[in-house]
Amino acid sequence: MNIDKATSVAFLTNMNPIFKRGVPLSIRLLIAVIIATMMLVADGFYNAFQPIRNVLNTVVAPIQYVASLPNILFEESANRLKTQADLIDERTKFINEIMLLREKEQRFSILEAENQQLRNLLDAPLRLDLPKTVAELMAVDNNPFTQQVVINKGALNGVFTSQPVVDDKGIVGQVVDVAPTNSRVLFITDISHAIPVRVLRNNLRFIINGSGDISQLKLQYVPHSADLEIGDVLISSGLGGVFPEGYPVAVIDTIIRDETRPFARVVATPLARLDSLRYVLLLGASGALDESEAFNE
Amino acid sequence: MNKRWPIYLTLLAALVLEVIPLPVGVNIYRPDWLLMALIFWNVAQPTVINIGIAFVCGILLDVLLGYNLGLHSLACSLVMFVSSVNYQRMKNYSIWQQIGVVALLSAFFNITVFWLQHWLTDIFFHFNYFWPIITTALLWPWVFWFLYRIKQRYML
Repeated sequence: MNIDKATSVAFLTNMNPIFKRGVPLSIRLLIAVIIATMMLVADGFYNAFQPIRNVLNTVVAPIQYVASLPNILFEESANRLKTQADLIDERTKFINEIMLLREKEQRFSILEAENQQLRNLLDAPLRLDLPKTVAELMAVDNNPFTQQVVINKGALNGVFTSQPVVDDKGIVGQVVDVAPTNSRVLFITDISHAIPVRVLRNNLRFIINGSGDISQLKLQYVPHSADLEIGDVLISSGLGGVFPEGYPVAVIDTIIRDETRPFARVVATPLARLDSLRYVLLLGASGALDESEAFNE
Repeated sequence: MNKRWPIYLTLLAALVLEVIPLPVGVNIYRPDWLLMALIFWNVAQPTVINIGIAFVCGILLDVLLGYNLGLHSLACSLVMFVSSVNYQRMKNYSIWQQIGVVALLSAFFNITVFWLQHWLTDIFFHFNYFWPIITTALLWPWVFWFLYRIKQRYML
């Protein structure tokens, strides 16, 4: 009897694994589908998962780092193999550029002081200089359906959600996810992104939407009578509270005034070089904007 | 768990391969590395690699690629269900038959991802989104060989 029991136990432990699966597969699938659908709806439509996203971003940061390693190594070796002549060339180029920029800055600082004084006279809020951080793009691939990049600065460097990001030509986008050592930037050209702008020439205000195409932005709700011309520069108006005022965003590219439609169709080209981006500038705390508003009151 | 570290290591490697930068123009052909690894381990070790692990891997992939949370975990779980139900059959298939099955699973996966994405943000159908099905099928024999070597080597 005992032996019989022992053999049956031995048989059980060696049994085909199909019989000791525990929870049936269909139940597991049902649970997975329910949880995934809930997450999709909560995250996709209500942005309810931001804190969890940030935790998960921290978890996957090492994977992203490993994925970007080959690129880092290539770059490092390319840097080491540069010839002296190249470096000297680069240096002279930079010196020229610095001289030109310094000259511009001399004029700019005088203008800034003057502007500050005039604003004081008008009792208008002073424009504060925002703290800035330089970040580099990380070489990792992204979702092909949206326009976003990963940069190598994160919460440890003071990056926060919806922090504005610019390059040397104009506004790039805003930070959407933050991990300790990296963060994800959504481009202004992403289909889900919009930014309030005004026309530099005549201060007309518009909202400019991403089109999903990296070289196109769409101006929304433009009346046919609006005074817009091809080549007009659009700058951020600061109305949304995310982007500081006065950074260039785009240049108007085409205007189609089709009277059969309720609004004119206006397409603009972003000024930031989104397709060949390497370094970006993170514009400091948006708190600075609120402070300047508080100053007004 | 201790003996199974090679499985998790290969899954991690698959995740790295999913985000490793490829030259522009080539990245539309990026095969579904994670899906291949999941299918292989599911067929080899159906009790270990299952819907649960596929779900977790899917979430990690979502975060890595910046998708809405749950998109790939849903697609991975669905594929894993189909694969788990048929793993006995898959074991007995020749490599050519396996290529066909993997292509079907990959098509199911990619179409699910496309459809969910279409539902969330209005993306349009483009054939480029479905190149991974072909590259996944073509790469399966090599992935299979490599993972099989690992399986034999560590006696999983």
